[in-house]
Amino acid sequence: MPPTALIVDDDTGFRRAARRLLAARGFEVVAEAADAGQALAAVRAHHPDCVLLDLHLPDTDGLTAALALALAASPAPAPRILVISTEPPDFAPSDLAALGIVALVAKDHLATADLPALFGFSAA
Amino acid sequence: MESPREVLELILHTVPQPVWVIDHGGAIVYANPAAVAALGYADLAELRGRQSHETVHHHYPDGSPFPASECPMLRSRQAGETVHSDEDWFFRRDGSMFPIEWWSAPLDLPGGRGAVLAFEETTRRRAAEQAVRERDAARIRAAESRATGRRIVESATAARRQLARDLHDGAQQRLVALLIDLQLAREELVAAPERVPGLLDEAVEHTRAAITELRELAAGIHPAVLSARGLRFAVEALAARAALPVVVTGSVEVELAEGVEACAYFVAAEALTNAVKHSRASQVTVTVTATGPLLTVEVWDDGVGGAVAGGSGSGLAGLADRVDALDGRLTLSSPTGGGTVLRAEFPL
Repeated sequence: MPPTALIVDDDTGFRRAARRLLAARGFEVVAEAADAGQALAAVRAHHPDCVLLDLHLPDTDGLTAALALALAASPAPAPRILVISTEPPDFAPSDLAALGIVALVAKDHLATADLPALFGFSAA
Repeated sequence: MESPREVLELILHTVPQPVWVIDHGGAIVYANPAAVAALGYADLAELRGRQSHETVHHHYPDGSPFPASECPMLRSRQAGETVHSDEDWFFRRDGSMFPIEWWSAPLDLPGGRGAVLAFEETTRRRAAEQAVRERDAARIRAAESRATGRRIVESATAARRQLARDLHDGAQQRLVALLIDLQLAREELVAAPERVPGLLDEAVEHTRAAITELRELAAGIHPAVLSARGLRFAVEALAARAALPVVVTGSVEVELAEGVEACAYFVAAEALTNAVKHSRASQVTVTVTATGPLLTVEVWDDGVGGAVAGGSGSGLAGLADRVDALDGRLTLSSPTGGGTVLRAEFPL
């Protein structure tokens, strides 16, 4: 069974491309969300293994959203969250780990990043 | 040693403060040299025995007669109280008038109660006060101009921040998606070539969207059509794109300064946007004229009116500052139910 994924980004064009990318990298995209509110509902409904989460959301920032998503998944295990950002990321890895974030990747490096490895799944 | 009376006379004779005394009938019985000089007379003999009010206080400053019965200065003689005014006037011998402050105290004289009067010419103080007022007014004007300058800087900063956000949310997202689709197309070229055309179609679409968004952003900064074809043509292009019937009239035959031209254009653009969004108008007329020393842009609609210049979300406040910075004037007339006229005038 491929790992399941949720895409959280307010830009539909980007979500389309990200969906194709994740599919090509061996993930099954089970839901898309345009903001943190929709993302919470999607986590409760689908319990995805992975979340691709944009740092800039219309209703909150990605770090706050990451914390909320981990809580929303409970009592099931929290999803593995990869935060993406248009700007180059500038957070310490320890900050991210505390929030349950596996990595922070700039959007322009997403297509060349080893997503299965970053999410902790060996490549299919 | 002199007698007390001699000392008193000496004091009154030498003190620079003008002082004089009137008897119970209001006639001048004594005036010290300072008073005689201040009132423009040669010596006391010219004043002694004359009615003080009729001599120095006979008219209001506006030129109408001032009856003695209305004079507060004579009250101390009548009522026995000390009175004071810091805003009065006297006439000199030559008929000229000067501002004064005066004090009047009752004085018992052998023939009945008179009064002693001291006064001070306030011309210089008035001039000093006027200078202070003018300096304050200049300070207020400078502060206003600084405030306008600050608002312009702040609104330019806000505009740049909005521009960065628009770039981030728009063109940058298109390019990121384009990059992903190109990368996937490259990978599928060997693995699954049948998927490549679909990915390239997506890539083309992202590119088109990016170009459109960048073009719109650039137009918001400085529309290319303005530099290429001038204000009148650019306004017609705005009118053609508006979601309302817009008639453009007038003409601009003179060369416009770039700043004025751009500001006039954005006034028209903002007014048209507002008319479409809020006015419920059926018809809009934009008039652009450069006659004599003025460039005028007027946008009139037949809508519901009630527009407010400082309303939230209105770009009018920022525009007013831009117009102001060019020594122009932005006026808004928008009676409820009576349509809206936004008019900007710029000196040429």
